Amino acid sequence: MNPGNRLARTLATVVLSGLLLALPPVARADADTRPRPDSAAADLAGLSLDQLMNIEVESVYGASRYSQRSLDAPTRVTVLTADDIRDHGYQTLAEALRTVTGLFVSYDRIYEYLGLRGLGHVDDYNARVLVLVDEHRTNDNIFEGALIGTDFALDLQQVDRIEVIRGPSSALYGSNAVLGVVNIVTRQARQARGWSVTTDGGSLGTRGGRLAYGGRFGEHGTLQLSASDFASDGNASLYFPTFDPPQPHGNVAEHLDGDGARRLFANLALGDFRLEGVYGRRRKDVPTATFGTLFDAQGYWTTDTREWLDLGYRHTFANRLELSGRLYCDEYEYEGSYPYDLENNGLVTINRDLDVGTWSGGELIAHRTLFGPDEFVVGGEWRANLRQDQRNWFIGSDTTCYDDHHHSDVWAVYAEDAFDLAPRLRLTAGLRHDAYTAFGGSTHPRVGLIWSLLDRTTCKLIYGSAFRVPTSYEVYLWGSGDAANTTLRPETFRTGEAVFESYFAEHYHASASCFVYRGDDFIQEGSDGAFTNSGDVRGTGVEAEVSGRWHEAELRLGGAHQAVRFRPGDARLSNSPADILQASGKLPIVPGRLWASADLHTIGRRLNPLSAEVPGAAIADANLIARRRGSPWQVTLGVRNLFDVKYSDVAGPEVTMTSVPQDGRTFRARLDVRF
Amino acid sequence: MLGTIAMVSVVAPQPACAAQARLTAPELDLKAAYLLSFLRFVRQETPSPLRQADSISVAIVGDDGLGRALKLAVQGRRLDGRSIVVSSLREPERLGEYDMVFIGFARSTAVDQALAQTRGAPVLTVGESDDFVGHGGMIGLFLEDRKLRFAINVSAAGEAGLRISSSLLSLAAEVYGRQR
Repeated sequence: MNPGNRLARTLATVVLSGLLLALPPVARADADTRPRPDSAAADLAGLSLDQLMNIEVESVYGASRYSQRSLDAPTRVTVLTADDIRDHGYQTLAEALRTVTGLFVSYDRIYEYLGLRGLGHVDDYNARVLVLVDEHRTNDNIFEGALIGTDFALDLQQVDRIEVIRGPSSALYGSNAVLGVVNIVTRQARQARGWSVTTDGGSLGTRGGRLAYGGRFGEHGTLQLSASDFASDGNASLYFPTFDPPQPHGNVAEHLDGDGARRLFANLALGDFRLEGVYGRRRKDVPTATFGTLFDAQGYWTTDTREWLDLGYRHTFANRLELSGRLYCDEYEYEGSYPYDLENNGLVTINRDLDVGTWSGGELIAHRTLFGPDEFVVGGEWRANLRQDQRNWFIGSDTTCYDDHHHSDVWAVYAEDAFDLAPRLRLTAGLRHDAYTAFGGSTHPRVGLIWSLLDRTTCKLIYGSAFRVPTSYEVYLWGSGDAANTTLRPETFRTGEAVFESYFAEHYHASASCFVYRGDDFIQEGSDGAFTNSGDVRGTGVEAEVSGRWHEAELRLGGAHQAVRFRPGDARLSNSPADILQASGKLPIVPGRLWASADLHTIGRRLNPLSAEVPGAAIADANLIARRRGSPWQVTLGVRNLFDVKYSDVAGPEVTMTSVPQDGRTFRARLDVRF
Repeated sequence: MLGTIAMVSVVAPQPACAAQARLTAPELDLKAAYLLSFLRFVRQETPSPLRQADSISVAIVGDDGLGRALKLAVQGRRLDGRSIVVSSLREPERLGEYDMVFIGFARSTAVDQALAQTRGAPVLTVGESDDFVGHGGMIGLFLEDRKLRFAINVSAAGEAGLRISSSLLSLAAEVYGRQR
C-alpha cells in the first residue's frame, strides 16, 4: 500500500469513528430542547384542509443526502418543482436553470454551459457542476461534463423536482461539485399513473412527442416507461459578423443548425429495490466552424449518447437507520464529424472524433437519526472507469491523430453529522476523502453553523472546499506518452459564505448570501490549445432572491452581483458577468382554467476568450396554459425571446468567433393528454 | 367517541392569517395539521357508549418527531368541547383503544402488525408507507409535487364502523372501495 493510500485509510477511519464519537455530549442532552417552529405548528392547525393542500413541504434532499428543511441545510438551495416545469413550459434543463437566481446559461450552438457565481467557463463542458438524476452522477468520465440542453438524457416531463444546491459539495459528492450541485428527482409511479401523450411543435421546424406509461403490478411493484423524440430544423441561415468582411465561404451558415434527440426512460420498483434505465442520444449540426473547420460546409455534426442502468436499494429499519445503496453501469459516447479544407483547394476532408467512456461502480450510504434531531450520514463509493477512449482520424486516409485507451479507479468515504450546539445553534460537519489512481488522494470538508434567529428565519455561516480532477480530455487531448498533459493537477476551490433565509408574512420567502471563494490550480485552455493549471481565480459576490405566492399567483425575483479575477494579472475572466437579474411569475387569468406565466433573465456584459466584450441582454419568455382540475387535457402556448432581442453568447476558445448569435423570437405549442 | 365530532370546527383562536395560504411549511408540522383535520371529517356510524370520554386520544407510533409536532399543534385546542391527548409510542401497544392512530413504520410487516391491533375497533388509521391503504389502512399520506396528498380506503373505514365525510373524499387523490 502506498503512503497516499495508507493516509487515506487512516483518515477514513478517523472520519467514520471520530465524527460519531467526538461530538460534544451537550448536543445530545439538548436534543429535545431544539427550537420547534411552534407558531408554524399552531398556525397550520388553524387552516382548513383545502388550504393545507396548497402548502409545499419544505424539504431538500441533495444538500445532505437526507430530507431536511432548506432552512437547516448547510447551503442555499432553490427548488424548481414539476409544477414550475409544466407551467413555464421548460423543455430543457438549461431553460429551467437559467431562471434560477445567480445561474446563467451560454449556448455555443452545440452545448449549453451552466455558469454560477461568476464562473461560466465555456471550455469546461460543465465539469465544475455536478448533475445528479435520482442520485446518479450524470457527469461522464471523459469530459467530466454534464449535458443540460437537448442532449440531456432525461425528458423534463419525467422530473418531479430540481434542487439547485449552491457552493462546494465535494464533502458529500467528491469531484465536480465545485460551484454547485443540480439534484434532479424523477417522478414517482404514483404521480404518473396510466398513459400520457404529448405532442408539440413550433418555430424553426421544431416538432416532438412523448409517450409515457405508469402503473402497478403485483402487490409491491410499479413500472414507469417513457419514450420521447425531438427534432428541429434550426435556423435556415445564421449570420456571423466574425466573418465580416465575407470570407471565401461567406459569413452566413445555411442549414447547419438542425437538432434532434431521442430519449428513453424506464423505472421498475419492487419493494425496496428499484431499477432505473436512462438513454438519450442527440445529434446537432454545427454552424460555428469550431476547431478551425470549414465555415458553412455541410457535414459538421456531433452526436452525444448517454445511457445508464442503476440498481438501487433503500430500506428503513425500525431503529431509524436508513440504508441505501446502488450498483450502476454507464456509457457516454461522443462522435464528431469535422470538415476541413486541408490543402486550401476546395476539397473537403472529414476528420472524425470518437470518444467512448464506460464505467461502473457502487455506493452504500447509511443515514441515521441518532438522538432527537441529530442526523448522521456515512457512505462509501467505488467507481471503475473501464474505458476512457479517445480516437481521432481522417476519413479516407491512414492518418490517425490519436488513439488513446485509458482506465482508472476511484474510491471514496465520507461522513456528515448535524447536531445542536445550543438550543438555537446547529452545526453540520462533513468530510470526504477521494482516492484516484491517476491523481492520488483529496480530502474536502464542509462545515456549516446554522443559527435559528426566529421561528422560520436562519442565518448560516458555511465553509467548504471542493475539487475537480483534470478530465481525460484535458490530459490526453493531444495523445498519450510525451504528448499527454500529465502535469495537470486537480483544481481546488475554497469557499466561505454567509446565508440569510426567511419565510415571512405568510406569503414570502427570502434568501440572500455573500460569498468569497478562491480556486487554486484553475484549469483552462491556453492559446496553444493545451490545458494547464494556469493560475488562481478569486471571486466575491452577493446573491439575493425573494418569492411570494398568493393563491394561484406566484412571483420570484432574484439577482446576483459578483466579481471574479484571475491571477496572475488580476484579469477579468471570460464569460463572467458582473450582474444577473431574474424574474419568474405565474398569474391566473381565468381562475382554475387559464394561466399566464413569464420568465425574464438578464445577463450583464461579458468578455470572450479573446478579451473582446460581448454585450449584455434581457430576454423574456411567456406562456399561456389552459387546463382544468380533473381534466386530462392541457394546452401550452409559449413564446421565447418575446421582444425578439438580438443577442449573443460567449463561446469557448475553440470557437473562432467573438460571440455566437442566439435565436430570435420563436413560438411553440404543446398538447398533453392523460388517459 | 368520534361519533359526536362530526364536522365541527376546532374551537381555538383562529390566527388572523388562517384564511390565507402559506407558502411552505415543515413536513412534520404539515402532517400534524393534516391529522387534526382528518379528525373533523370522520365519525363513528354507531357511537359506542363504552368509548365516551372527555378527550380524543391519538397515538403516533414510530415517529417521535411527528408526535412532538402534534403535541404542539393540539396545545390549547379542543374538538367539540373535548381536548385532544397525543401519545407517542415506540412500539404498537393496545392501538385498538385510541380514536386515531398514525403508523409511522415504513416496513409493510411492521405496518401489518400495527394495523392488526386496530382490527374490529373504531380506530381511524393513518400511515405513510407504500400502499398503506392497500394493506388495510384507512388514510395513506404521500408527497406529490412537494405537497401532501392522501388516499382513502373507505371499505376499511366502513368495516371499522367509521364514516368518512364526502368533503374529505372529494379532496382525496385516490379513493378505494365504496362507502355503504
